Amino acid sequence: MKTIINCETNEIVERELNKAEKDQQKIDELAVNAAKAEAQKKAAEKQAIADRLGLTADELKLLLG
Amino acid sequence: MATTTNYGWATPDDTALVKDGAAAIRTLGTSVDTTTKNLNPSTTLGDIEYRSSTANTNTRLGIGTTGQVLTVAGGVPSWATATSTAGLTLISEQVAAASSGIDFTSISGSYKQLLLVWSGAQHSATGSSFTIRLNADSGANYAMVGAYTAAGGIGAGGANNTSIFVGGADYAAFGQDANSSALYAPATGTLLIDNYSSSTKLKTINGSWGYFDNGLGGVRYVPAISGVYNSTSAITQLNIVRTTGSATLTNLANTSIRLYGVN
Repeated sequence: MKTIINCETNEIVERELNKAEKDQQKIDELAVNAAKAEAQKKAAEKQAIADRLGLTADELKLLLG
Repeated sequence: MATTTNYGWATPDDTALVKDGAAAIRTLGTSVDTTTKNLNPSTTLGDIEYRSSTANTNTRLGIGTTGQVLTVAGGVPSWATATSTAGLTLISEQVAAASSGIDFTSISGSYKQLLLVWSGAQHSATGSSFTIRLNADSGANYAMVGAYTAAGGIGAGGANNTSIFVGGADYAAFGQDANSSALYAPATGTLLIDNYSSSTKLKTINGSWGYFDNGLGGVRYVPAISGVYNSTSAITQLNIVRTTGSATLTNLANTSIRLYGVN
């Protein structure tokens, strides 16, 4: 349930997410997943470089930290 | 004719004739009615009375308007607009209970800044992230930069976003996969919004928070963000919105979500 507080009257309404809110979450989900995929891609690229250099994960962390 | 001690209502003498009883009762009733009305001149919900300079006659003080306080002027009570004093005013305190989103609406514009403080906001399951929007605006109007530290590393970013997210869900204001029940684990943080009630200035946003990402096997994230809400509209709504998944937010015992006005 979504909670809606009217800060002027202190009235509280609880209701299910409406269609517009559900549609917005789908849009948000795509954006978040895209950002996650981009981060994973970068991590994989970083790991590939580390592998080429023969660095362990701990060595890589030490180097970048 | 005899009279009562306090209000001087006329009552029959002990020797008065029974035949005059009806008239005497009517006279007494009229006196009681008049006195009662004089003592209680209210006409409207919320009215109050105070003693006037005339004996046994009160003065009606009509209900004030929202936000007014009772004060004294010229020796009598009156309503006055509350004087703005420096400090925090609690606008609303909520305890989330299986909430898929929380909207603070009709926020008064009578403060300089808004401060949101939350703790113990636990997700019901992994797979979800929550963020914050202003005026329910999901446009790319949040020019944000930020950095986070986490057990797995650090990150930094910046972009025009559709919420106060900086980039991915690593910056999630109300956490991502924060479903641990340990008190330190759920989402906890603060967010300050300056110029929020201005209709001519952009809104400055600063915040920091922490949460425990249980979806990654337990990684603690501590993001700090800074940015501008690129709108000159006064903010009257603050929205905690779910961006992914179907988890809900519930405050752990003795924790809450508070919205303050700052002066």
